[in-house]
Amino acid sequence: MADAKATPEAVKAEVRKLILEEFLPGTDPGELTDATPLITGGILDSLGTVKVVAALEDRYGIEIQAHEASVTHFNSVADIVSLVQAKLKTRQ
Amino acid sequence: MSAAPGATAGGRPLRARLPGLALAAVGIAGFAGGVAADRLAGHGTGFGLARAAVVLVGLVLAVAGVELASDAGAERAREWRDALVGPLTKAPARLAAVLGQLVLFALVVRLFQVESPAFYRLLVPLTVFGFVVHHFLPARQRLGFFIALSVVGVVMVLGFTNALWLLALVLAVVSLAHLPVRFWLRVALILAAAVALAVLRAHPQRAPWSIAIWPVLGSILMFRLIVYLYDLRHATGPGDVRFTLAYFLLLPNVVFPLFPVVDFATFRRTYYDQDAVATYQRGLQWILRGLVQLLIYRLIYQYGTIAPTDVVSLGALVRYLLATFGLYLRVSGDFHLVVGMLHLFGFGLPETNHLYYLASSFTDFWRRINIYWKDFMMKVVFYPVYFRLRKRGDTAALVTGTLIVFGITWMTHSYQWFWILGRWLLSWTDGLFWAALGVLLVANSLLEKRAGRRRPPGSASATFRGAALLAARTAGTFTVICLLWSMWGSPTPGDWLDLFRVPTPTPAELALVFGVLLAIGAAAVLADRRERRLGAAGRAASGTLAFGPRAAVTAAGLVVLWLAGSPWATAPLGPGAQRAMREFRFPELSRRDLATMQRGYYENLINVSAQNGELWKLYAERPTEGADIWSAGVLKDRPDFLAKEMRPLFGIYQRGLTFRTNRWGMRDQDYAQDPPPDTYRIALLGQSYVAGDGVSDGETFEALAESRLAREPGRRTHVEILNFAVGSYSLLQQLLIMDRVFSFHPDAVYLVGGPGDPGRARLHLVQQLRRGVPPPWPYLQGLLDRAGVNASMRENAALIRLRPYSDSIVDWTYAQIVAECRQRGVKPVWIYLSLPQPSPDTGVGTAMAAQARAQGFVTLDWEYVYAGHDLKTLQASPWDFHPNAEGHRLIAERFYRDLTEDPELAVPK
Repeated sequence: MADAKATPEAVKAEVRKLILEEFLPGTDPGELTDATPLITGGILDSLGTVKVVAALEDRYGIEIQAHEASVTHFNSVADIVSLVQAKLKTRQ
Repeated sequence: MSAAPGATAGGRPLRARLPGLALAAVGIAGFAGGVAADRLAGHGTGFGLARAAVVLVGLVLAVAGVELASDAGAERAREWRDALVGPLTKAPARLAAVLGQLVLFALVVRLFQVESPAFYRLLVPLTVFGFVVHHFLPARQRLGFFIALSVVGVVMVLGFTNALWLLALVLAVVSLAHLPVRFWLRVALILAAAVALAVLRAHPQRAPWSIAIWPVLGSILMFRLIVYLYDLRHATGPGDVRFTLAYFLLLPNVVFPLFPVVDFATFRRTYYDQDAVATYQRGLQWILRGLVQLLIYRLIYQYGTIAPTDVVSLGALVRYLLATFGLYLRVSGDFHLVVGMLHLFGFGLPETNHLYYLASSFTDFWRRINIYWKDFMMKVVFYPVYFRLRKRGDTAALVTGTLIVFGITWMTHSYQWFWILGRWLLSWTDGLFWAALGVLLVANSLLEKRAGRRRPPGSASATFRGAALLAARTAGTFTVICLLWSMWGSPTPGDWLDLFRVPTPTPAELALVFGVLLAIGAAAVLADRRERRLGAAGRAASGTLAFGPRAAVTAAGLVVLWLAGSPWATAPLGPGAQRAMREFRFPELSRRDLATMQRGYYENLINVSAQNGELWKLYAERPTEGADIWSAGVLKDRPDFLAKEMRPLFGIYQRGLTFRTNRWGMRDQDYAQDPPPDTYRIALLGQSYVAGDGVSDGETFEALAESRLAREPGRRTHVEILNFAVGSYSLLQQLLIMDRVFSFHPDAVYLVGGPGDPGRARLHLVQQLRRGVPPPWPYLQGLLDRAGVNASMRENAALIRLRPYSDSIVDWTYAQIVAECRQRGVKPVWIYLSLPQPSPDTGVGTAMAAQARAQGFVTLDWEYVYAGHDLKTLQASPWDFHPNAEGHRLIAERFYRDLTEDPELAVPK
């Protein structure tokens, strides 16, 4: 479902929740910072990345391309938030 | 408008520009002088290190001079000054620590002769020098200097002409990617260029450049161009040509044809993305890790590997499986070295391999081993397929994407060896390996998908139950991968299955298997706990230690390696330890590869790959055509047990050598069938090195000795030596030609034997049996029956069964030859002679001579005929261990001495 009022803080909260629930269950939320390396740190693999892609597309009604499923856009919460924001901006 | 006197159009007075211009002039003079000196020295190769340094420093001075003389000269001067002074004032101890470790690295690689002389003699010293200069340059100039350093590295290793060809070809192909035409047209042009290059690769003699550049050219372009095109297609901004050049001219590539598939986007993204000295230190840490892996690989390769025909028990099978999988350390070690070296120039690339022996599932294994390949496949294959198909359902997209990845991995594996070796390496076992791994990975991925939430890394061993499960999963994964890996290295699936026909295991052997699996499981638990301590950031940075402890640990590791290899440090341990370390430090082919290579030159070896990492290096240099005299038409097939013989009156000029046979099909001058009066005639029997593979007509030791005897003053009896040797003839074939030999009425038969004789006799017996030609002697047929060997059996299985009968076959053959000689009053002489190649065993000649003597031969042991000489200088070529002209001269001297001085031979004067 698209969410036109998605602020960076709201997107960040959603992304953090997704990562903590799906990939870091039982981990202290404080350990997941905006810069925690997700792909290079072994938290997200290819399957994890496509799962996050699917969740973001569903949640924000955006479309993420194959070449964007990369370290550049998915290696940290901050990277993901930037990508989502950019996509939302383009859509508007 | 005219310029003011003494000023240029830019406004700076000429006087202010003079120092810069002078500096540029000095730099250009240095650069040109360095190049000219090298050309005038006439080495015919490339730069020596000193001249390379002069050229590079000249280049730096020229660039600095031009910048200082420019309009922004004052600002540039500040930049250069800051770059020079900054590192000395800002944490100089950290830089000194890095430099110290780098020097230690150079010492260790030289001491252990790591990789190749081009690496430890040229590239590593160049890297140390280049690192220092590079670090003291303004950040803006570093990338350009790295490109220049890489070009100089190519020139140093390949020589000027080859380097120019290589650089021209790389630039030409990469330029096609930037033509101002539509993207698909650029791709089509690159594909056309690739096809043209592939045709030339398959027929390298048609290319105007040397064969030496093919492995490097292939390695540079075969995968990196694909990544580059992909990134170019999806680029959002203008590119920087310096990154493009640096990406395709990565410094270590010229000595590492098997190179990790570096991702272009990652290459750009990680360039100086962290503190410079911390990046250097991480590189050194990986260099040390790579060195340790390469030295363990060397241990496994030299002392652990065994031939499939040696797998006669469960213990031997375990050793075979572990050693085969262990050989991957070579690739992993090389990749660590490569990426570590790139760190020294600011490229903070991620880890290439990560504890792959401790994978706890097949997906985990895929994530840990050759990570760059996995990322490459994810980027250009899996994601595009998955994203295209996901509307049809996640599972279908996942399964299809994964299977396509493994199909392409299989094909590109062969494609890779085509560019490096010049031939396709497609085999059933290769296909089965990738298919099995693909299916296992799909199954594993589906299980993970169904399981939903994933465990955070490092949490599996948090409880005792979790640790036990992790250990069991890791041991299971390790076992399956070991089995698959051994299949990958087998010529056929049948040969692989034959490995498992071992007798019922003993309790000790079962304990060994259990112990290995327990150790793997325990190591996995320890590694998992360490991962938990590291956390995500620590894992990404390969550790959480601060700079000081990291540097101390790495330096200590390098010092330990250096001490372990230093002769004075091993002296107190005694001569045995010193000899063992010396052998370890000077890497040679293992017993298994020596045997493979000996078979290779008459069987057109095609199964050379990463599984036998030392062999492929040799074969990469070998010409693909005209390399083997025995496949050039000199041999003709026979339907009987002899299988082949040399054609009479055959002549060929190949690799600069003449090879002719006389009317009797001997590689020799012409002789009458009956000896002339007052002639003592010797019939010489042997294999390729006796026939003179590797030298021209008249240069064989037989011809040299004969000619020297003919020139001997006062000799009353003429000595003729008839050369009956044929490439790859086994003892059994020698026995079969005895009637033909006796038809020339020799006074003596000299049979030259070597360490491969027992194996070659068994091989000939099995190969002929399998083509439906049983041995023409009841004794050997009875022996085959007793061993349970029949015509339908696979080669390796039959060879294993015949192993216990090796001595019987040799003894029987010797006895037959001796008996036939004695029957005709001919003196039987047996000579031990091996190729000028390092032998892992000493004293073989003595033992074999004793065996021949026991059957009635007079024996000569020439095991040490090459003693005191560098064996490499006596070999026909790096990939061909037959003696060259100098080797034959040495053997001829010994032959002549024995013929004239040994009373047992009783050659008349």
